[in-house]
Amino acid sequence: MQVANSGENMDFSGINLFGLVKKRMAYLSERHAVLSKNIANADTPGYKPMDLKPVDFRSMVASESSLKTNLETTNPGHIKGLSGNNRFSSQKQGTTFEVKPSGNQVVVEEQMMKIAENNIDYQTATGIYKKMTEIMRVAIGGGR
Amino acid sequence: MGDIKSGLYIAGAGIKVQSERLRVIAENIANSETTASKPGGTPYQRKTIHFKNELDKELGVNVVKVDKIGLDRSPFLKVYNPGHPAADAEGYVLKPNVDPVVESADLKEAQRTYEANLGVIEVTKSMLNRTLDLLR
Repeated sequence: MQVANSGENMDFSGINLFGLVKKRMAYLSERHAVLSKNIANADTPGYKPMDLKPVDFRSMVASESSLKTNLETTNPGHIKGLSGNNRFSSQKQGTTFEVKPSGNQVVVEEQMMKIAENNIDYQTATGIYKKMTEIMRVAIGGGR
Repeated sequence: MGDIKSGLYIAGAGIKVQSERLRVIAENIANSETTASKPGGTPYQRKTIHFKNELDKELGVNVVKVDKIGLDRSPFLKVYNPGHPAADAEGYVLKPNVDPVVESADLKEAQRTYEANLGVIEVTKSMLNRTLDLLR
């Protein structure tokens, strides 16, 4: 999901909760991509599972402009900026339950668990976002 | 390409390499009795598959790909069967170095990873749907 720069069209991110939920969703979708990479490499020799560093709420609130800029791609032939694509820092997972003889450290069950957890968090975030729009609708007189 | 959507492609690549692996395993099992047709020839040699994690320039993320399909260099089995067309002077025939037990274990592992990738696609779909629901 592409995160628009704050306050472009409708100035919803001026309301802090919208901005927070938006950032939360950006974090969760990037974590989802990282976790699905782990599953895809469940049998790649020497592969170590990755995960995103947990974001603490305080720093999220403090740094409104923590989203880095991306390289603009205006043509399908353009390559993407590699570091620009990762807005949150990822790290290799420390210890896992088992290491396969090939050096692979992915435990499929553990990763599936994380993906499910991530999915629930995402549902929570979208739920909050939806509720917020409902509140906005009430405020502008369109609520039922 | 958004992160959630790239999750779809990453899991898709995982499914692709696992089905390629299933194909290699099927080939090994199907040829577990394939001997040479005349003395001095080599029987079927077990195939192995290697994966690697490589950058997909279009997606801008690393996806899993088949590195190479190699040959297992472990020794062939020798079975005494003087009537066989490929039997040598002492009556021994070389049999493929395919172990059905190893192949079925590999098969199970491939199936497990395949299903895990399918699970990821399901979750990705539900996340995308959740996002689309925000428009309603």
